Amino acid sequence: MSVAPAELAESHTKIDNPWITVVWNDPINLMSYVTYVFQTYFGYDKAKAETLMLQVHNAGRSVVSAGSREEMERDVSAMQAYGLWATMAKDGDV
Amino acid sequence: MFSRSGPQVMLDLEEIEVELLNSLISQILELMHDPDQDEHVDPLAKLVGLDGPTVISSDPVLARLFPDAYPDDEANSADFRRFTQPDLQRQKLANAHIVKDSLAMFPGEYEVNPSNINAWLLTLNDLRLALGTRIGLDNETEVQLGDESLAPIFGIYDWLTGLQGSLIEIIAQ
Repeated sequence: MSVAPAELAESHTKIDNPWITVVWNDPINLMSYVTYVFQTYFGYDKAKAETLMLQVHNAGRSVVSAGSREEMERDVSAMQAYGLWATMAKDGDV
Repeated sequence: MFSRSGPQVMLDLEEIEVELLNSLISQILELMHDPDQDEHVDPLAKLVGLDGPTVISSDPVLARLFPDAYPDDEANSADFRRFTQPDLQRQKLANAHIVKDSLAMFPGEYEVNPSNINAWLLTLNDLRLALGTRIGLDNETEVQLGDESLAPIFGIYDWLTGLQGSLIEIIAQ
């Protein structure tokens, strides 16, 4: 199953941004909360944040950001601070 | 519940709701001082300030609040946890304390200090994660709906969901 959103796949190359942050579905976090976190932390507009949230909800997970390993560790840590279930991986490993 | 009055975010709590929040926050504060985690701290690392645990907690709630960052990669998860968990824990504790302190003025309806809104949002989420995990919502197990003893916890969980939902509705514009 491919989970990388098209816009993310286009906006980075595997060489420049080899790491990704994955947010996994969980039955506790509210959909409105997850959308709010994506808007607030990543600065995504509401439409994009909702698309990613629905991907988490329906597909079980979504790639929410891509970048260097250090950047992704920062993003995962931030998602954990919000209580979202986030992990990181090398692009292509998920 | 939270509501908006012009630019102000208001919160209306009854006495029993204040008591409930106080009790839940005290429990999560206690839980986050987890002795199980302290056992896994390397004394040398502690000396140089890298005092985080390296192993995921055996407590399901703490495992949910502080999950592994690298699936199926123990070594990298351990490093990540050692570097990030102390700070994450400090943030969660600080937020819980802010909410607990601000409960002192309730019951009644009061404005929520704008600088405390994030602490409210995150603490309510932590409480829902803790309670939801305790009643088995996290792994989507079929919870015994006939189990009368869990009914009050489900009631509290639903109330927290409504409370957090009312806040998100106001701030997510």
